Amino acid sequence: MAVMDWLQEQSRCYFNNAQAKRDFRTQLRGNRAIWLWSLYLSLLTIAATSSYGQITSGYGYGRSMEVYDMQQALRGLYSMMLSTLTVLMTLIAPALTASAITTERQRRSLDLVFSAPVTPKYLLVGKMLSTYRYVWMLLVLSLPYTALAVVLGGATAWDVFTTYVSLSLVGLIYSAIGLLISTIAIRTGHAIFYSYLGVAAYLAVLTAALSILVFPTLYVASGTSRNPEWMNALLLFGGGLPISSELGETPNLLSLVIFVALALSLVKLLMAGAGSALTARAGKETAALRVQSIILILLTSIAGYLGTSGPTGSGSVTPFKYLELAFSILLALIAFLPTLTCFGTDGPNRSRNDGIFRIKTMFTGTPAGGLPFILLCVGIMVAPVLWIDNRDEAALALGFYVFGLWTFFWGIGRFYSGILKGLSATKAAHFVTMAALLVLPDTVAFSFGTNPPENALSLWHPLFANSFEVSLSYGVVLALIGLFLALVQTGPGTSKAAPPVLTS
Amino acid sequence: MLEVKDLHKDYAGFQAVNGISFSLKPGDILGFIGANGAGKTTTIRMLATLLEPSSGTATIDGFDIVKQPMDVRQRIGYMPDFFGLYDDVKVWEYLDFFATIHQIPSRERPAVIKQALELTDLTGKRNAYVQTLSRGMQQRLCLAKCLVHDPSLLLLDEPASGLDPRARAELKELILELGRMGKILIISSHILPELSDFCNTVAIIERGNMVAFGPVSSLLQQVRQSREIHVRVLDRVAATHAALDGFPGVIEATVQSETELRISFDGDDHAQANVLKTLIEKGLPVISFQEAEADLQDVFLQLTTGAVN
Repeated sequence: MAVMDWLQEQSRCYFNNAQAKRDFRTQLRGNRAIWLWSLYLSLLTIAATSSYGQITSGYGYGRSMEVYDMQQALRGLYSMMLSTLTVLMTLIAPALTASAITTERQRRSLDLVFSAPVTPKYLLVGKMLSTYRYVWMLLVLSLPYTALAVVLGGATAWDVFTTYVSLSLVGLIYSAIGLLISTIAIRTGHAIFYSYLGVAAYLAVLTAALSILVFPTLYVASGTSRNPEWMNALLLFGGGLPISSELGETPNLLSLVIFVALALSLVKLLMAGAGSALTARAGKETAALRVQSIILILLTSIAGYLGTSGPTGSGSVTPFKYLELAFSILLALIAFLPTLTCFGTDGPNRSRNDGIFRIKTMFTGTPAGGLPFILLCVGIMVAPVLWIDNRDEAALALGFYVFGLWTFFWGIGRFYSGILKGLSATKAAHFVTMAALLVLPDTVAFSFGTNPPENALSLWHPLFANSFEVSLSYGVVLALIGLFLALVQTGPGTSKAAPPVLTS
Repeated sequence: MLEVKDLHKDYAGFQAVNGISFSLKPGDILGFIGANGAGKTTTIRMLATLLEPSSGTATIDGFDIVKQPMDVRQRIGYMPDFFGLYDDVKVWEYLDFFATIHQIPSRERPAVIKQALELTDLTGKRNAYVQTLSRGMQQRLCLAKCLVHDPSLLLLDEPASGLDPRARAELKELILELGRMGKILIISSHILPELSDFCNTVAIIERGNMVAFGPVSSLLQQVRQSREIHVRVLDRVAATHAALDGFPGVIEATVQSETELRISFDGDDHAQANVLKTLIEKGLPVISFQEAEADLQDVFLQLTTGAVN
């Protein structure tokens, strides 16, 4: 019975979603859609004709061309079409969803929807379906252009298939970024602007964390400096073509599977984040968000482990290198740490102090569950070190250091929650302090001519020291400071007094 | 059946709602009165499950607004003070959307939409776009969307604001009809004389505290210790005044003009009927004998201090 109910609920949410139906109906009403499609097709036509013109301009009547050269030139045509599609997708997909919730909020129609038996998930899936269908319509409209490259010999059917899988999934990620921003922003203009920033940040974080820090050095050992294909697919702009990058190359199904799993998991995470941000009654949504975070961290760990392993013959696996990757990905947690840690009086009930450490509330979003959740995330990232062959003590100590660092950051948030009243002010102070602690010591040291890795006050020092004693001592000291900061202001498990009643 | 128990809502630094409790039965139409910022909208939003109470709860047909919000939402119709209508949507599509999210089976939806349109007198506008409707019609459409799932409780936040006199009269008729259908209505409004026309119960809220709750007549009695009766006679006003002097229950009789008197009376309906009977038996030419209409404004002004959060 429960299974049937669940199936009915899923069917209602994904196949018979009233929100999607209503939005799609209004999207296609009037001349707006026709004008947009016309503009889109015009841009693709211009890109195709100019690219084809460039290819053929050098080969006039009576001049011959080698088959290989022609194939390369047609490959260029295909690349040009893909680049145009990628740019258009990057511009259109986030903008479509960025206005989805802000428009409802500005129209003040959200209350009408949420006074009906509608969950945030239902609303967000509806919004996503309507805009994603629109994105797919744009992709379908572009098919004749990419098919042209296949007919002329510039690409294979597999290329086109994997390209559209990549484009559609990256379009889905961009749409989810837009939707998340839309639930947070107040005005549509701001939401569109921040969505583009969000997409830029997504590309920058992935490029920095996955590409610069680890993979090139590992892949250089095999004689090339290529990124793994699943990462190219996630980035789109990361260089090269998605999944299968050379004509005649064996399709890499593992890369395709990793890419699809990571992309869908990331979309689920962004949607859960949007659900949690959308309503004060977000117990279920917050739990979904945290579970999804764990899944994504787990997937990233596996992908990172595979990445550090590299292709056959690429060299040995280095746990320290893996931890560098883990550390850099965990840095992204800083943006979310204030939400996980801080509490105050100007938020809904879930922002009230309900204790210092409760595993039971790890997924419900209350402050007492903050530290257990943070430690779980860190634990999952650090755990693969235990399975990597040739484990060394320095890497394990670095794992302890990471635990200590995050306990320290958590303690700062608790400390501010104790001394500041407003939740927003607490979160801002927490974030700024963490950012300053990560950046300032090195900046100051650098200005005095000290090499940052040698600066003992730097929080990055253990990463460069590669020493068991240094990492362990830093981890223990930071953890103790964090616990002290947490206890000194709020005490273990205390609750803030009820807000005073104004008498006049 | 609606039961509200010790409902509290705290925001940063102040309590928007401070321990409100009351209960309503089917057919009750509650006028929710209070100054701006008194906590009316916060209370209504909590009942609509849009805000979570800091403490306390309410049950609608036995379903708790905190523990079973989805069940509660199936039983309420909420009309906010500013109703957001979608552009580029036809009237029937708008209602179809709300019928769908209230999980009304697709085969039943056309009939439900037809009924809602008939009840709100919008049948002729079925295929019109919502942005082309007048404000009064949009208000009725919003009320129609509240009715598609046949809720037992209707929460109407300032439903008459911005309406012209005709639209207000139509809305009043509609509200009375819904009360006769056995629905519970909670209506917040600033227009007190109108509320007394169709509400049988009143709640007055100030700075988040409920300062009065009950039937309109009993609240008036609380405020006005005695009844006020207006008597008009053809002539012989002095004789009428003399006849009333010392009559059981008559506290004071004041001559207002050559044909009018005002009686301050302390007694029940039987005693009041006796006064009229006596005047007529004495052959006095009584044209009208009428108890002064309930005046919610007096009640409101007397029970509240004007303080706001």
